[in-house]
Amino acid sequence: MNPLIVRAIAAHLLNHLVAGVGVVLIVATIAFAATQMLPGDLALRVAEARYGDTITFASADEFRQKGGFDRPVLVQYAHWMGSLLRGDLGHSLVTEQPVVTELRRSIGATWKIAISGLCLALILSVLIGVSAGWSVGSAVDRCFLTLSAVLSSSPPFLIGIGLITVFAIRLQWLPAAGNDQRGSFILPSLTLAITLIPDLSRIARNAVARTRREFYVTYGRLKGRSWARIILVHALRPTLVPIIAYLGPLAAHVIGGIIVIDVLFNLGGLGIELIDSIQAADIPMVLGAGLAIGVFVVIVSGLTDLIVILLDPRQVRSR
Amino acid sequence: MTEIVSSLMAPSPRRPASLLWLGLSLSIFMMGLALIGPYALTVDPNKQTLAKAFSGPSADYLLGADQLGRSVAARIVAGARVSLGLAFIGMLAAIISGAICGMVSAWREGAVCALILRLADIVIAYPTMLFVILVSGLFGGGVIPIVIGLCLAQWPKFTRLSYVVARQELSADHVEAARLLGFPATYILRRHVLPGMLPYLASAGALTLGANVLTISTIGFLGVGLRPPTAEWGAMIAESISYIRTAPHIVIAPAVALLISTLAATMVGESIAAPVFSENEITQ
Repeated sequence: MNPLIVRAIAAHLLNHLVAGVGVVLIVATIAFAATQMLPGDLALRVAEARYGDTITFASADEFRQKGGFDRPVLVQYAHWMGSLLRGDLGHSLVTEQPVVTELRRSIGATWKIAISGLCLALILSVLIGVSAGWSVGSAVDRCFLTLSAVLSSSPPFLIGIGLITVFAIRLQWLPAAGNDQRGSFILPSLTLAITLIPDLSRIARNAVARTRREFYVTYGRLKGRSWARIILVHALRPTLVPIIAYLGPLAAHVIGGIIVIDVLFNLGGLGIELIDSIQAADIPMVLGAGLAIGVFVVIVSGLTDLIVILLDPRQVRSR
Repeated sequence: MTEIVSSLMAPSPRRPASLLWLGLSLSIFMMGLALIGPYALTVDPNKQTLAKAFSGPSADYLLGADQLGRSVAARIVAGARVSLGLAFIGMLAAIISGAICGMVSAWREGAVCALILRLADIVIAYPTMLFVILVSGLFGGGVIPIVIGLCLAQWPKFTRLSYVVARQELSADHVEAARLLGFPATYILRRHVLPGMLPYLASAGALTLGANVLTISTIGFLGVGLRPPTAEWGAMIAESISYIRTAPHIVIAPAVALLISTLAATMVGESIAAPVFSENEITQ
């Protein structure tokens, strides 16, 4: 392989490794700061989430000693970072289950919806992008631009509520919430896809519009190739590069969206887990979820950078 | 990699001026609602009249009453003040901190610059929504945690933008001359660099404003934003969503207010961003 490309790949890997460590440090520090600055007494809040109304000061004290929350701040911070470096995320303060077990359960409830929504969004965005970008300024294109502006300024939960109102309440075709009925994954995936489509299809549209002006497209046309063939064989690949390059930020969008969608549709996944643990001040759970998400985003953006370099080596030289 | 993406994400260059005017008039309408609404509509947004619960629009209740018999119109107006005010303060905080970080790192190349830009890269990769949920939720969900969360999540965007523009401005001859004449850094940055950055900051800021309104309403909807009974659009929708069959107006009213605000901010942002960013080929 070209040494330039190898060097670029190595530099990227190193970059993302540093970024990964940075994410871990930042999220861990914010979560730790929260344990110190939370309004009210942490021990009391956890005891309340665990025992409900039957809490006593004794149970809060017991928890405080067991969790080491009565030690000096710096000792706690060192302990916190130390166990994190050993890869020990600890146990949930409320359920006392290992954080990893809880995370696996909640991610298991939502990952299918994330994937199906993402795939739907990718397919639709390429289709929309090609049809709008191929004829910039046409009625189709203007319609698309207006619609994408409207959709990208609507919050995900409103889109979801709109879909529930139409398909679950008026038409009664699909279940409105839950994770256990037939077809209950359709509305959440659709909601996720609709929140992702505006940005994605705009990228596809602009990439297609740019490719449309390339010489090789004109050349193909002069050679008598059909438009369909030119699009499929020549124009689609350069369109995919920016879309793949966008997968990193896209992963962040998917996670932001899935948190809201999970709560709205009551899927029992990552979003509900996160919000519940935040409200119960279950810091190990919040930290675990925050870290899992951060590391995931870093890994995705690292991989996409690699794929982009391999797909379009011109990127290396232009840097 | 982000460079290609953002150049493709940049708004298409020609946008009709009518869009700007529509966006501006909608924004002015919403801002007017937030600023003078509470004085024009002197109904307490938190006053409950349970007998009137779920009632439709009437002379006393312009947009009807919600599940606790509170005036929806009054709550929308109060919510406008909260949402737009917080979004604006959050945007301002992000712009100021971002501009300062950007200028400092452009002025002092080296370790400081590398550290700031590195940190910005890391934070920018993290989902904004999650950042605000974490900070606002963990610190108890009040006005200050939300503003801090918005600022923490968005300063990197403005830092990178200011860094690129400030570097360009600093390399100009008249700035070099001022530097040789021994003017202090603060003077050069304020007089020569900052004015060049303002158009970029303003247009990126307008887009951020819309995004902030969206984020604030979402965390309100999730229940980790402002505490009830504060009238906030997202929280209003979350509280009334179970009555959508019987009294849809309680859900629709805040939803429409929310959509108008975010749409207006997007229209204004894109209209002013397009010429600024496409002329100078600087990517956000």
